Amino acid sequence: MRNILKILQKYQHLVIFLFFQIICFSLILRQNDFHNSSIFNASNHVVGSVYEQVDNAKSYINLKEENRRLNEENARLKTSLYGKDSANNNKFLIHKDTLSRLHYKYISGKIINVFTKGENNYLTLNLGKKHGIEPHMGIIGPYGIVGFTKDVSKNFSTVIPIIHRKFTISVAHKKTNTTGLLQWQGNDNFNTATVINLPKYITIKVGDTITTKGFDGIFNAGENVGYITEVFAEGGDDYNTAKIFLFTDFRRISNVKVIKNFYQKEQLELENNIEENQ
Amino acid sequence: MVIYLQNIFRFFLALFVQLLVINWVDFGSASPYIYPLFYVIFIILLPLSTPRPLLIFLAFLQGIIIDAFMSTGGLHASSLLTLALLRPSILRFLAPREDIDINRPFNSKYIGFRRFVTYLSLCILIQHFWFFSVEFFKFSELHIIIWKTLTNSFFTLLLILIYDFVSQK
Repeated sequence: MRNILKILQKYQHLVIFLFFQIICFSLILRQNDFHNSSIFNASNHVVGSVYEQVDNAKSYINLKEENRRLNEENARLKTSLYGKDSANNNKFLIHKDTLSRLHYKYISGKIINVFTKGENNYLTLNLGKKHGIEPHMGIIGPYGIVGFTKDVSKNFSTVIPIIHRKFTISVAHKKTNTTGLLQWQGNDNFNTATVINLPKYITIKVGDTITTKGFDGIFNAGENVGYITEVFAEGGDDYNTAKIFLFTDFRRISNVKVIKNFYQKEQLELENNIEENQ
Repeated sequence: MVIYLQNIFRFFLALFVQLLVINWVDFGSASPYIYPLFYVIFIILLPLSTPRPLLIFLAFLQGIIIDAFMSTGGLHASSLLTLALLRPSILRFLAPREDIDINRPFNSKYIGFRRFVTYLSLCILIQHFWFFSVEFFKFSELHIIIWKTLTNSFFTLLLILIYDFVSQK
């Protein structure tokens, strides 16, 4: 017994090291699991407050530029809202909405911290449970999609952006509406991403737009993602792989909108049922 | 007393520089390769008389604060722990005759510039390599891990030498 104690005393630093190292790795695994909320992260009140203060000071520098971006977005939205009707000259047509209830709701917020240099990048959003934010809600910026929320506290939440190793959603080739899978791979940097599983029978050109497909209930269909810069024949005989340039500039992102999908839970439950039955 | 204050100052300086300066400076697509992990300076320059359990605990404390700010789980803490465990061995390797007085302040002037740089490089390389290995966790991308370790270690070394130079003025 005394010998065991002696050995323990001699190697106590090793025991402490292993103890902390195990904590670290369990925290890493928890952080990388999207369905589990982690403990220490930027949605923490203290951390969020620090980032908010810093962002307050910093936002004055980009005010002019940010204003221009938001104005541009407004113009584009107005065009898509009114432009079509006047072009078809059906101003007096009454649109009957078969769904009386709202499907999507947009909540405006601000990204207060961005990190783009690592493999698993995170953003911090200045909205939390208080504002109706939940995990797995999509976020779009002025030009395209940004990511989805992960950990949500009372006032802040963390966002997993497209430029995260484990980010993946279904996207569509806009012209043909064929489905592909968006990923962020090893050779991508902060403004590129990869679309895999694009079937070979459709013709893909450089410059084509990629939009969201809306399958996973996070984003609505038709939100801009990026445009194709390169096409490879990497996916075997049947599929092409394309490199895309993201519309969202993660280094300058500030004002965003969170998408609340009122039917997400219902959709996911239904899909889970199918998977369980198989 | 001065030595306590010095280390407390370095603790906060490391956090401040890492989280509010380095994380924001933007080098375009070269950014992942010019991303020094400057916070390692705190563990590297702790007094040599620091007991090992305390050293490991401080490494964990600083790492977990950075992890909280960057939502990385325990990535930074894990790499600092490894450095804290190996630091006494590195020192024994560099000063086999134990000619360093553990109670004196630890800088390039006292232990000699060449030995200081060797010590810094070894510490930084170990910590950076551990950090990027765990971050990727895929040895098929070993070349990226090694490349990132080398370039980022170089910039970290540069920053710490600048600190050393300024603090002796």
